[in-house]
Parts: sequence; C-alpha cells; structure tokens
Amino acid sequence: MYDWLVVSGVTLTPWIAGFCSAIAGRVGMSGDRAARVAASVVGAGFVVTVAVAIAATAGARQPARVEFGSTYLHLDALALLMSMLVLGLSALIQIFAIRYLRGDLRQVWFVSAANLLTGFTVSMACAGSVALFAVAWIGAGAALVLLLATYRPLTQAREGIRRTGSRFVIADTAFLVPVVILLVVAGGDIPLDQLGAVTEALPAPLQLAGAVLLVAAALARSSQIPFQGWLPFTLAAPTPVSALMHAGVVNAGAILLIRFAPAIAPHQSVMIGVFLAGAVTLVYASAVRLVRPDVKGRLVFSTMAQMGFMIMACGLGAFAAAIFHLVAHSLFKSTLFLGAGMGVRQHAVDRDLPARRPHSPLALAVAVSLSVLVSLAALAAAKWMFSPTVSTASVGLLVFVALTAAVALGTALSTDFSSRTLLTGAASIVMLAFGYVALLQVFTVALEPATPLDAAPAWLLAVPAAGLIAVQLLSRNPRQLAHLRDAVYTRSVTTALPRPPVRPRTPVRPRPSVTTGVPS
Amino acid sequence: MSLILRAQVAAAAHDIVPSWPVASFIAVNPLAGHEPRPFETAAGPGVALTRSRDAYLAAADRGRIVDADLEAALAERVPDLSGQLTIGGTNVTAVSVAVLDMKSAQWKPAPAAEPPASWLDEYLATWVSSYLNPDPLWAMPHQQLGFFHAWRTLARRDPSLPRSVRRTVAGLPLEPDAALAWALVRLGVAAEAVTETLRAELQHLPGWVGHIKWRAEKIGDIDLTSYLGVRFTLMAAFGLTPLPPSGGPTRADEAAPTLWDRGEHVARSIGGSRVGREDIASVTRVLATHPVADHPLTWQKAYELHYRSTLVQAVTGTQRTDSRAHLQLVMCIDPRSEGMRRHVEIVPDVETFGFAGFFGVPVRFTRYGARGTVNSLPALLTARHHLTEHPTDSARAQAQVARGRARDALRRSTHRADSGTTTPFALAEVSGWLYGAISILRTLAPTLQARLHRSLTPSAAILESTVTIVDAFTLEERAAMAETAVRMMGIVRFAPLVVLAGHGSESMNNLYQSALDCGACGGNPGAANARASAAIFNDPDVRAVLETRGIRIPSDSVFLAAEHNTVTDAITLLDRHLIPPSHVDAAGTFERIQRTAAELLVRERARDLPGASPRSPARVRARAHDWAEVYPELGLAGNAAMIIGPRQMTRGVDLDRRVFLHSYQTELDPGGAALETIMTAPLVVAQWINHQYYFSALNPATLGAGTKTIHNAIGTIGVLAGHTGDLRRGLPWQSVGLGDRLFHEPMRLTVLIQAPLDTIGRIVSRNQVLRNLLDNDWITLTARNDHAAAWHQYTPYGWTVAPIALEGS
Repeated sequence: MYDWLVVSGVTLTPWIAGFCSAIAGRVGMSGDRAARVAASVVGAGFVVTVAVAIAATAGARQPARVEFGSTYLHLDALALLMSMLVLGLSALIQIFAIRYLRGDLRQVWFVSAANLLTGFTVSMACAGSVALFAVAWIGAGAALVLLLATYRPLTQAREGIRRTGSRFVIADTAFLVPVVILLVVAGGDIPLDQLGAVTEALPAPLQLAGAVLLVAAALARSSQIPFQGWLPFTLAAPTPVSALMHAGVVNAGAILLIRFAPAIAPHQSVMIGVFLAGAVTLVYASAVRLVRPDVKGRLVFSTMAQMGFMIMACGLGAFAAAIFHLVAHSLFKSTLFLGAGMGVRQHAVDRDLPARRPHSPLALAVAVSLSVLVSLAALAAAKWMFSPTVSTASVGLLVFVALTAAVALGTALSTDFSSRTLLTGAASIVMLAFGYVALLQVFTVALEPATPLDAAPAWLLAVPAAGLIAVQLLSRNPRQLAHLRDAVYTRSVTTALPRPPVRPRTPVRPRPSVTTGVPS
Repeated sequence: MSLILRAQVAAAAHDIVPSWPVASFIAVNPLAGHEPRPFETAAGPGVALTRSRDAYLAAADRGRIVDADLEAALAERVPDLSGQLTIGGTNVTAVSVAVLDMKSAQWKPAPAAEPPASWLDEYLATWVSSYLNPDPLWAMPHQQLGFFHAWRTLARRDPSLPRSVRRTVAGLPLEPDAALAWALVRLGVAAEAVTETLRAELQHLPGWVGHIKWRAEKIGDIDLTSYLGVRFTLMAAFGLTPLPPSGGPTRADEAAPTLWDRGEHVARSIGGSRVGREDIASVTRVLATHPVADHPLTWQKAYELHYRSTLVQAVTGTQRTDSRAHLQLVMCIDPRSEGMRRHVEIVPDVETFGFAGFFGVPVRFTRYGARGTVNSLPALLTARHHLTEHPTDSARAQAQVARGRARDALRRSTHRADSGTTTPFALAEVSGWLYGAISILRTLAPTLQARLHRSLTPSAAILESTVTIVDAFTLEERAAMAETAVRMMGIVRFAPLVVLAGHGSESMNNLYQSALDCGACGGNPGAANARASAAIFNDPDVRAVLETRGIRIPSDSVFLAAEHNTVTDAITLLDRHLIPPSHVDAAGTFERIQRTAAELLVRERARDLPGASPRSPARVRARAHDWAEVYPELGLAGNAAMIIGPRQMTRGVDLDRRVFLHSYQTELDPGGAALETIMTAPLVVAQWINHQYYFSALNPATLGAGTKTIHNAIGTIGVLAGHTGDLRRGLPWQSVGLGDRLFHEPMRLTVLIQAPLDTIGRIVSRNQVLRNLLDNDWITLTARNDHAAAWHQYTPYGWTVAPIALEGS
C-alpha cells in the first residue's frame, strides 16, 4: 500500500496537471488559471518526491515498487533523483511560464503538452521494465514534438517539428527492433535487472546489433551526431520549451544508456562508438557555438556539446559522473535559457564597470602559476579526502575541472591583480573543489552500476581534448593554418543553413573588363 | 570605385528607414520613406494601414465611433458629398447614405502575412549576423577587410555552396561595387533598370537592410553596397533572376460588392420595398464618390475624429493664475508623465511642466571611472559634449572602483570559463547548482532576489558625486541651453523648489527595456541629463547671464534632479547631498506628495496592465525585478495625441496617459522660435513613436517584432524570431496587445496647439517635414489662438473651423 501511494505520488502529478489543463482548455477556462492549477499540482508532486527521497535515504528499506505482472515501476536512486529533477524543473518552468506566456493564445496547449512530456519523462525514469520504458520513451519523444508545435503557424516551428519528428521516428524505430526481439524472446515484459540474462541468451551478432540500435535512440534524443540536426530548429518554440527540454528530455540519452547498460555495456566496440559519437559532437558543437552570434543559438549548441560530454562519460562507463553532469547542467542551462533576455541589461551594467588596467607580464605569470597550483592542490586534497579510490576515467574528467578552475582563477587575477581577488578567488576555488568532489562522491555511491562494464578506455579522452584545444586555437584567428581556419569557420557558420537552390551547370566567370565601371 | 553605381545604391536605399540597435531603441516610423506621399499610398505587401472591418463595426457598436464621426470623416475625405435625395418617399442626406453604405459594404484588409524567406535571405542573414556579431567568441576571419571582401575570401571554402559557385566567387573582383556591376551585367539588368532592381532587392530582409543603413551612417563597418554585392553576385552565380518580393494585392477587393449591389442594399434599407430603379441609381451616384477601397481609411478617420472630439471637449480654457507655486515639477513629454503630473497636482500649489526628457542638455555621459559611455540625447542630434561625474569623497570613490574591479574579475572569469571550448563542461557541473538556486529565487521571490542582488553588488549610482557641467559646456552654452529651456516650457515664475524629473524604466530579462526608457535621451534613462540641467540652473553664473536676457530666477529657487521609474512610479531625488539645508524640508514635502501620487498612479495603471490588480500595487512594482514578466509596464501604449500649450488647458483633466504634453506659453516666445523648435523636434519624435506603435499594432508580423517569447538576441543589435532569419523591426506584440486583442488603439497623432495660428502656419510652411506629415495626412493639427478662441483645423488650403461632434460617449 505504501509503495502504491509513494509511486503514484511521484509519477501521477504531471498526468493530473496535464489532464486538468486539457479539460480547462476544452471548457474555455482562462489559460492563466489552467497554468496556475497545473503548476501547483506538479509543484506538489515535486514536494512529495523530495519527501520520498528523504525517507528513502533515511530508512534502509527496499526501493518502492509497483508491479503489474512483470511490468513495474520502481523508485531506485536514479529514478528518485531524475524524478526530483524533472518535476522540480518542470514546476519551476511552469511557474515562470504563467507570467511569461500570459495572454498567449497557445498557453493551454503549452501547459498540456509540457505536462504530457513531464509525465512521460517521469514514467521513463521510474520504469522498471523494458516495455514500460519503451512506451514512456516513445511517448516523451511524441510529447516533445507536440510541445514544439506550440507556435505551429510559424514556418520555423513547422521546420523544427519536421526535423525533430523525422529523426525521432528513425531512431525510435531502430530502438523498437531490439526491444521487440527481446520481449518476444522473453515471452513478456522484462524487468531491467534481468535484462542482462535475457540478452546473453541471444546469439552474439544479434546482441551486438541490438546494442547498436539501442544506442542510436539515445544519440538521437540527445542530439548527437549523426542525428544532431534537430536541436537548433527548436528555437521557434517559446523560451520555456527550450528550458524544459533540459528536464530529462534532451539528456534522456544517458538514462537510456544506463538503464539498458546490461545490453550495451558488455560490448566494448559499442561503448567506444558511444564515446566517439559524444566526442565528435562535443568538438563539432563547440566550434559552431563559437561562431553563432545569437544568444539562444549559442545556448543550443552549448547544450549539444554538453550532451556530447555526458554521452562520452557514459561511453567511459562513468555513469555516476554522467548523471552528475546531467543534473548540474540541466539546472545551469535552463537558467540561462530562461534568462536569455538579460543581454541588454547586462551590457548596461558592464558599461559602468571600471576600465581595465594592463598588467605586467610578471603579474600575469604569477597569476597563471598561482591559479594552476591552487586548483590542482584543492582538487587533489578534496579527492584524497572524499574518494581516495582512483579510476583513470574519473581522473580524466577531473582534469577538465582543474583546467576550468585554473582558467577562471587566472582570468580573475589577470583582470584585477589584487589581494582581494586572490583571496576570494582562491577560497572559492577550494570551496567549490571540495563541494564538487564530495557531491560527486555521493552520486557515485548512490548510482554505481552493478553490471559488468567493458567501457571505452580512458586514454581516448585525449581525442576530444585535442579537438577542443585545436578549435580554441583556431578561434584566436592565428596567421598559421589560414586555410584550415577559414574552412572550419565557414563550415561552422553555414552548418544550420538549408540546401542552396539548384546547382548551375558551369561556373560563371567574371569578365575582367567589368571589374570597374557600371554596366552598360 | 564606381560613383554612379554608388549613387544608384543610395537612390535605391533612399526610402529605407535606418533602424537603431535594440540596446538604444529609437522609435521610428517604419514607413517614413513614404511620408512625402499621401498616407494611403504607403500600403504594400504585408503592410496594413487600418484595422479590420469587424474591429471598426465593433467600435461603432459600443459607441466608440458614432454617426457624427463618420459624417465628419466623410466630409473631410469626400468633400463633394452634399445635398439631399429622396428614396422611396424618404428624404435623406447624401452623407447619411454614404454612412449606411459604410456599415454594410464588405471589405477585407490587406493580408499582413510574413513573406516567405528564400534560401538567399537565410544565407545572407547568416553571414551578415556573423559579420556584425557584437560579442564574438570567434571573430570572423578577414573581418577587417569589410563585409564583401571577407565573405568573398571565406565563401570560397564554403562546402555548402556548389563547387561551380565557389569557383565563381573566387574569380570575383575585390571591390563590392565592381562585383555588383559584374553581377548586374551577368543578370542582364538594363542600365536604366538598375536602381529599380536594387530597390526591389532591398525589400528582402528589411530588418537587416535597415540596420545596415544605420550602421553605415553611424559606425561604417558595413554598407549597403557590400551587402548588395554579396546578394547580386550570388544571384548571378546561381542564375536567380531578381524578382519583387511576393505578396498579395494590397487591397483584396474580390469580395467587394458591385456598386449597384451596394446602391440597392442602401436604398432598400432606407425605402423598404417601395424603392425603384431610379432611387437605386441616385444612391449609386452618391456611393460612386466613395468606393469601397476608400472605406477602411474613412473608418480609421472617424475613429480618430471621435477621439479628437472627446479630447478637445475635455480641454478647458482657464486662465493662468499669477500666484507663485510652492513646488514646480518638470517632467518629460512622455504620456506616462501625464499620470504622475495629474496625481501630483492634487496638491493645489504645485505646478507641473512638460518638456523633452533630456531637458535640453544633449550629452555623452560616463559614470565616474566607468569604461563605457552612453549617448543620452535625442536621435536627431549628435553628441558633442562629454559629461562625467566628479565624486565628492575620493576615498569612497576609490573603494567603489576597487569593488568594481573585483566584480569585473568575477564576471570576466565566468565569461572566459563559459566561452572557452574545454572549460564549459566543468563550469556547468560546478556552478549549475548555484544557477538552479538563482533560478528558484528569481521565479518565486523576485523582489527578495533583487534585494539580495543589490546588497551584494551595490550600483554605481549610489556614489555621491557632481556632474561636470563646467568641463562639458562653456558658460555661453549653458546659458543658452537654460534660456531655450525656459522659453520652450514657458515657466514664468520660479517656485522655491523646481524638480526636474527624467525617467527610466526598470525591468529584467527584457530585451526591449530601452524602448521603455526615455526616447529623448536616445533610449536611455534620463537621470544624467536631469542632473546636468539642475546643475546648470543652480549655477550662479548662468543665472547672472539669464538675468541680462530677461529671465530672473529668484535666489531662493533651487533646482533638484530626480528620476521617475515608470514601472514602480517612484520618483527618486538624485544628488541629495547637493540639497541646501534651507530646502531640505521642501524636498521632504515633495517626496511625501510624490509617494501619495505614486500609490494612486500604480493603482490606476494596474487597471490596464495585463494580469495586475489595483488591489495589489506591490505586485505591480515587483514587475521591475521579475524575470518572467513580459509586461513590466505598458510603456507608451495608447498614445494618440500631443498637446502643446500651457498646463492650464489640461490641468485636472484625466487624459488616461495617452497624450504627449509639451508646455508652451506664447508670451515667453514672441518670435515663435521656441514653438518652431517644439514643432520640429519633440513633435516629430512624438510622431515617430506614434507611428511605431501604430504600425507595430497593425502589422505585428512584418513591421512589429512579434511575440517576445521566441525572441533570440544578437548581442545588443536586435532580435531574431527563432534560430535564424531577418532582424525584427518595431515593437514586440507585448507592447501593443494581449492574446489576440490590441490594448494600443492605433490612431495617427492628433496635435493640439494653443498659439497664434499665423505663427503655426508660418512654421509649417517653412518646414518640409511638417508639410509632408500634415498635407499627406500622417498626423492632424488642430489649434486655437488662445484659451478663449475656437479650435481650427489645419488643411493644406488654410485653417477651417474644426468640426467637434457633440454626441456619443
């Protein structure tokens, strides 16, 4: 009984909210009231989930689960964490949208579709068996397409629906093939913890093919190469939709990879494929982001790159790190999306800051070495204190953190070389390093997979790192490698353009005689 | 460089209205190029000049347009409509027949559809935006070569172009005009058709084209020749023939009934079944003078005339009293000031004045030690005077600068970490948690968040300082500015305390915040100008010079600067440390009066503000800090008229914050020089604002910026709707409407002036810009000689007595 209450409290609220708003739309209630009711219901769901999570952490009882035959919902650590994130972000964004979409003729549509999406996403996170997961996964994709149809009369919105829909249809069909085969072989629904056993019964080539097809769905949902071409086209939907996509929608790829790890992770070639898809997307999207002039375009390609990072972590088998990144990034990016209109005000504020002073090379050198030392020392100390067991993958990912800390502190010191900046900067770096490592350790303990992994080797991290550094160097517009620089820049600028019109047969050569003067 | 081609480009671009960046939003008439021609000729593809028939009929149903208005509008637009006719035994006037016809004849407004974007448009929008990228993380290589040359160098390596096109590009001349000339030949454009062809192509991507024109004039890093160079060479390379932008006919008259049907319908509605063919024929002869195509503008005229009648009737004629006021408040002519002035004037010995919000002091302003400057002056002027601040306490100023540097260090380090390629991943992991907390706070408790933010990062505005007017202006300049200001706003006797209140709007997450600031200050808050103006008026040297020119400011008169926050309606006194001890009490009194007025005004505004309630004024004020709020305030929505004359005309009248009020006293301006300045500067700016709202309301998809909810900023240049495409022009839908309903009533500016008619007539005939606007019906002008005289209406043929309808609501 307790399980029933708890599971329905966690999973049902978005459905109730969506249902209410759809009814409200039918009977002609004001969109404002429908939005308020829906946001409160989902907010209540979030509170319940937090309470359940606290109870689950405090008590040592089994994760709550509700069964219907072999199909079941369960609230393990990942499900609870994702439910908290999805419901919390969804409620927050819906509260934001009450005011943001005030008076909008499509407000009820937005609220209904947003709750449909939230409902499917929570169900997916809590699904304990293959069939249920598949249904929720496909439902979430469909709900996202509905949400993108919020401003369907706009040409760009229709283009977004077309691109998103076509990629999801292809990838989700691919996903259904192994799922159906597994279900047929097992003669019914398969609990996720028995997935490994069922898969092993299949012939080896079929196992491999199934793993590849499962991965394709994850890559498409997280906008990874070769399915990357839909995310930038979602910007014709209102801002809250872009923010909501970070609540377990665009980052659902990691959830699929983790839940289906028993079928995917034993194949190192597939895991390397996952890693490389993430790595290539990471480099590609980072380059495009640098050339985009529009704030939301930058955010979209940044999301794509961050999803590449997350998928890459999955390929390394660092599932806890991937989920940690998923949660932190979704909070980060949804905030940036909702605040995408701050640019003009920020510009006005920055105008009143004091002019920058040039610094001596000595000060600069001191700043750089200090920042590197402080960052490395802080991270090493934190690592030693909280999680002395060291895996190569986690060290590899920590290098990113150390680099970031060094860049941040170094920039701060080279902007304002004063004891005030040094002290506050160093103190913040130490505090953040300790907080980061401790929190990551909490995630690792809670989420470390039980299944055997044959992950991509950690040295592969050198590939995306080299790519990123190369892009960073090219973006400084060096004199060397001008051809490569121009080609990468131009490719990045034109990446989201449609195809040009029909090709001309022969090149038309400008005649030298008309290089000056007017046409006669 | 080809001078002839450059001249042809300039001729083709003549009608294009330059559009300012969104960070210093200047309202413009998007159809200003049509001003030398009659208003009705401005319609074009995707441009509606009037509302729909249903909207006008609904207005007629609720008494917003009455028959008298329609008759007056018909009399103005169709002067030959006169006389009587008998239909089926009933005597009716020709005008009433035409009125009946207007209510029954069907017409459709022009379809205000978004023109479909071609590949070429998307390609050019992408390259122009990448080239102009105001805050690039990766600056365009070869940018220093100029737009055309940089594009030419890069497009050779563009794999999205077919190889043959790339080869063509590689062989192009380096100069944009040479390439353009080559392309025009290649496309087979005849020499005499060049200007027309260029003009037609400039109709595509109007937002970017308008911005490029602005940029060519003000910054100069791109011009329309290089833009057209890229456009035409691509067209030549792809073999695309230049076509005018597609769009339906401007007036869809297919559904319009024939003249005979209209006549029959009207005749039968008058005479019933007794109507014969001759009756119908005589009705038809009347209706032929007013074809259906003219109906929309007649309805619009009636709509405007009704408003003018109510306005003129509301304007009173009391004479000026000669007693000295205790307090004078000078505010911007902005319609929002009207609400504040009305509520402040509840106190009897308070006088208020309306004057352009830069108070006649055009400056480029820099805060103490700041890196950036603001051009705080009307768009018609260029910045020649640099104003800055001088802190009174240098130790405090040093501390402030040190804090600013630390803040800059934090901003820059997060920006650098976020904009690198290797660092954003860990940055997101570490700071995401903090961002989440900020997001929650901003959404659930905006006011608390703002308070926290303010306590952590105190604003540069709190540093005690004086503005450096002596460095910025010579004594002669200061005295001249003060004299002009006094003569223009017509202050006869100065009160002991004169408050000059500029205005600014505080909102968050609002790319159009500048559209809510002071237009006379170039889309910036007016605090700096108010401070400078107050300092000039308090300057004893200036007062001495003024005395010699017949303007005596008593020694006990003190000028104080203030700023009106149009979201919260608080008027904050600036430079409080400069208030002499003798005037501290008076300042306190002012603040008390202002607080009461603000409370009343916020409640009044809450009635119109979407989602607000007069019962909770605190929530209206909280909109200043709410990042989810798309309606922080209504700005100048509803603006419909401008009144130039003494405040006695309108004091005590509720003008509903819809009227620009410029104070003016004929006695102080015997030659009419001040009136000429008012009519050629503030009046023209008011007209820009009026038409910006007018066309943004009627054409939200083409001349307005559409809904804010999909806006995507390009730095501080402007916004896109969605991920690519044209730069949006005009105001967002949230400035003019809610849902599918307009709260801005689109009406062309009605100008009322109280001044000698001959002076006004002389000024109009001297100024082409005024003649264009008035003779072509872009605005209307109604005037009277003095408070006792009758209202006269300006027509191209002279003054006529204005018809003031006396019935209706």
